Amino acid sequence: MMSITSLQFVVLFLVSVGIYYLIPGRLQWYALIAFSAYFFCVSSKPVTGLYLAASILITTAVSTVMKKNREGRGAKAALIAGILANLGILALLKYSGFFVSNLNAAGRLLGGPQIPMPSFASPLGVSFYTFSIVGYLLDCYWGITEPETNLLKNALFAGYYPLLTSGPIVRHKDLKDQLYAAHRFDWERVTFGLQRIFWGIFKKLVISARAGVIVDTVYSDTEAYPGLYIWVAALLFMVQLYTDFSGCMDIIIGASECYGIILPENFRTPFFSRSVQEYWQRWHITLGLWMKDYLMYPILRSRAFRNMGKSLKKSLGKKAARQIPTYLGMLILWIVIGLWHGGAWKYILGEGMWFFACIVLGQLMEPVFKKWIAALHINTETFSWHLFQSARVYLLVCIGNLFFRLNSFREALKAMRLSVSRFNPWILFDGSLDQLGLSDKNVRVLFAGILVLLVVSALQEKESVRKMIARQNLVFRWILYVGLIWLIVVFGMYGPGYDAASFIYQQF
Amino acid sequence: MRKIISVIAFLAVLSGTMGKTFDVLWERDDGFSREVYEQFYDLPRNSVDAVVIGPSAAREYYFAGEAFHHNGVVSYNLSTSGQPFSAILPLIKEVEKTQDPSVYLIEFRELEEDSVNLGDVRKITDNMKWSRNRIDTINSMLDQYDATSGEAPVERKDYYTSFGVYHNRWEDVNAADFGESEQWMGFGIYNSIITMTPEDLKPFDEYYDIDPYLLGELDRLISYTDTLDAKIVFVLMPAFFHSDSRGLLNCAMQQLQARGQEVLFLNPHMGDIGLSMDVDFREEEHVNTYGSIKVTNFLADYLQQQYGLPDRRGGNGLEKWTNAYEGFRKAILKRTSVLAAYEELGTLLDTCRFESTGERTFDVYDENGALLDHAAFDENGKRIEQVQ
Repeated sequence: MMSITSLQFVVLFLVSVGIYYLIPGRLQWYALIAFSAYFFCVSSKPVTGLYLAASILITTAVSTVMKKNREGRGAKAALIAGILANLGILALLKYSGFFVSNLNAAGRLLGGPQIPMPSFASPLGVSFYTFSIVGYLLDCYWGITEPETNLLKNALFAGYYPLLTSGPIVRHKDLKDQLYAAHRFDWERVTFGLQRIFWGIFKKLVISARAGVIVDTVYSDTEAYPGLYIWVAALLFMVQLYTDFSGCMDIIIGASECYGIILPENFRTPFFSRSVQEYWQRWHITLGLWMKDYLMYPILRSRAFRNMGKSLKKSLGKKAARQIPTYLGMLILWIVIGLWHGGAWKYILGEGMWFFACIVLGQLMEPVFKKWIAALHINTETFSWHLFQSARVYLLVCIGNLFFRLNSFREALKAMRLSVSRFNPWILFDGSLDQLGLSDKNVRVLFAGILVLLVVSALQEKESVRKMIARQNLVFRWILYVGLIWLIVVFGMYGPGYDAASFIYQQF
Repeated sequence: MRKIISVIAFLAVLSGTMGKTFDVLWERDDGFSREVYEQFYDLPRNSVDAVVIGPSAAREYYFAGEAFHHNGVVSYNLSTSGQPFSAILPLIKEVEKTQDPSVYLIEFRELEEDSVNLGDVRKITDNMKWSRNRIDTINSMLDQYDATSGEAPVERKDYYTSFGVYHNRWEDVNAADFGESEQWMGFGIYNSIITMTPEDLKPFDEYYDIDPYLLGELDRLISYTDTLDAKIVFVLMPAFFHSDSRGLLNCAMQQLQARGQEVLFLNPHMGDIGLSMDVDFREEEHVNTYGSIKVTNFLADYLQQQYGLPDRRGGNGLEKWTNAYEGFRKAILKRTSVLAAYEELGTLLDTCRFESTGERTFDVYDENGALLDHAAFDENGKRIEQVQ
């Protein structure tokens, strides 16, 4: 399987960019289809391409019906059929195991029969392209974008290869003019793209892979590593997850930028967030926006919810009429977000319900917090307060991601219990952290990498770092570029014996 | 145009930086494998008359600079530690690309060894130039590994590039990695000493079948060498072999002779070579540097007398051999005084056995194996430490 940090990918990518700009502009998007087909075949089982092909065919058929019958009932029926078919494929591939395991659990309780566990090989990026397609169908129905009846164009929209690894989830209206248009070689755009690719590789191979070693060591045997070890692993897992996922995004967005296609951002320095709600506006942005636009708002605007609001207003008053339907909608939204991450209760509870609880409690408790802040005379416009807020968010997210990372809900609960079972702060000072699979020198490289990441992220809050660098003198710029590549080549964890190449979100 | 110049300049800076980085991080193993290949590729075309190929038993026994100084034989030793037998055929092909030797001396000790150490594979392939033959060399050795190890097949593409392995050496980089490598054609100095007894030198009475895979490799090799103009001599360098090795090597010799190959077994020639059991071995299966000089001179004479290799001393373009010899002599001069001091110690304790524990440190044991003494010498041979 080809990873986007492999030499094989780099060669494919560079060759593809060369071909892309050498052929006539009107043929460029055909070339992208060819590159995408090749990438798909070498990155996952080619036979799973049938699922992707099915989704493309269904989407094209639905688009054709909608184009012909924009306002009629046929459009609505086609839309529903299209959504059900696409989500049905996703459910079959990703959730049938979850569904059957729960049925079997119920069967064991009630003495019913046991069903064999289904097992399907999923195509690369199935969750990402399915959500993009469902969003596109809804946009067509709502008139936000024009239905596309060209099968190949739909194939490129669903299967554009940079998107297949880990998203982002894209919207047709933002991409259609770029995907199929002719692009001329733009020096600045290509160099910016390449810079971003190298930055992503740095995050993945220098930081994420190292953090992953410590996390894997601790989480593989939490009983042997209780107390502060678990907190260290939890804190580092966030670093691992962020640098893995955002590093992957940097490579994908950078690669796409080289073709002249600008993809939406998925991250905006999430660890500078001051609340969990803000965190989710900065983390996996395209998933959050998709959920808001295609799930949350339609639910809140639905007749059932409007009626509920009206009856609540009469019985409980205005505030409750506003809050209860909103929180109910949020509950559905967070369950779906949890489910999107995988068919397991640990995702529903850890990635879904935990964050739902954090956000709702945060909102409900806000008046109380305000009183405390006033009573304690806390100046909320200071760096220290912002730091406290960000640290609080980081900690809350770490707890949620404990469920994400550990194998089961039960293991996550056990880890939480073990994390407070032993008071062992000396491990921070007596060299114990150097015994977690990384040598002391590698631990230093990890923390130096995190420091670099923090500095770049802080600069990013103000303006684009790439533009900032572009304004500097040539010698300084080249030192930075050569230095970045040098750091990757020397300190990156790759080569025989390392399996740092796959990305955590690639499984989705 | 400015942009293109800028890209070229940037790539030049990047290549220069990376080139130097690779150079520093590239592993310099104890066996000087990198130097063996670097200096082989630097040889003038068609300059060598003889090539030695084999594992450490060839690499540590034959110094081309010494042979040239001794009788003017121009040769090269393309051997690395643990070199699998399956490497010999592609390495001869590599030699044939740029050289046209009259004689190949093939040390066949690895015919007793069916297993392949993957680190030893890298000593060869990571240092070979990029070519189709490099891939053939990788495949040849890994085929042997896959056929004999019983382990899962090795991922071959990992061997096509080397930096994936060596970049991890950043943790071990020290001042020596920034220095120039010694220019002795990959020959190294090993001046540790172990004293052997005549009983260690047993005749080859045993006979054990060698691995059929290796016999197949031998047949492939002979099929190829039969097509060459060069003479092929299969050599077994002098050493003290254990019973299993004696049996397997006995079989190997018989198989070679049955295939009409010339076999030169040097154990019976130890007297002619002048090898001392007291000071010329560093371990049972390897001579030390002093022993290797004697073996080299013997083989150089053998090559000249048997195959008429010319005395090229005074010829043009052969400075590499002269420089290698002179560089080596300068380095070894520092250490001969240590050897002299050690020999003196050996004379005083005639019945004892010695084992070196470092470059200039020795443990002295009595005939029952009890530790009697630790001895350490400075560079001038002066004893600087005596315990007990």
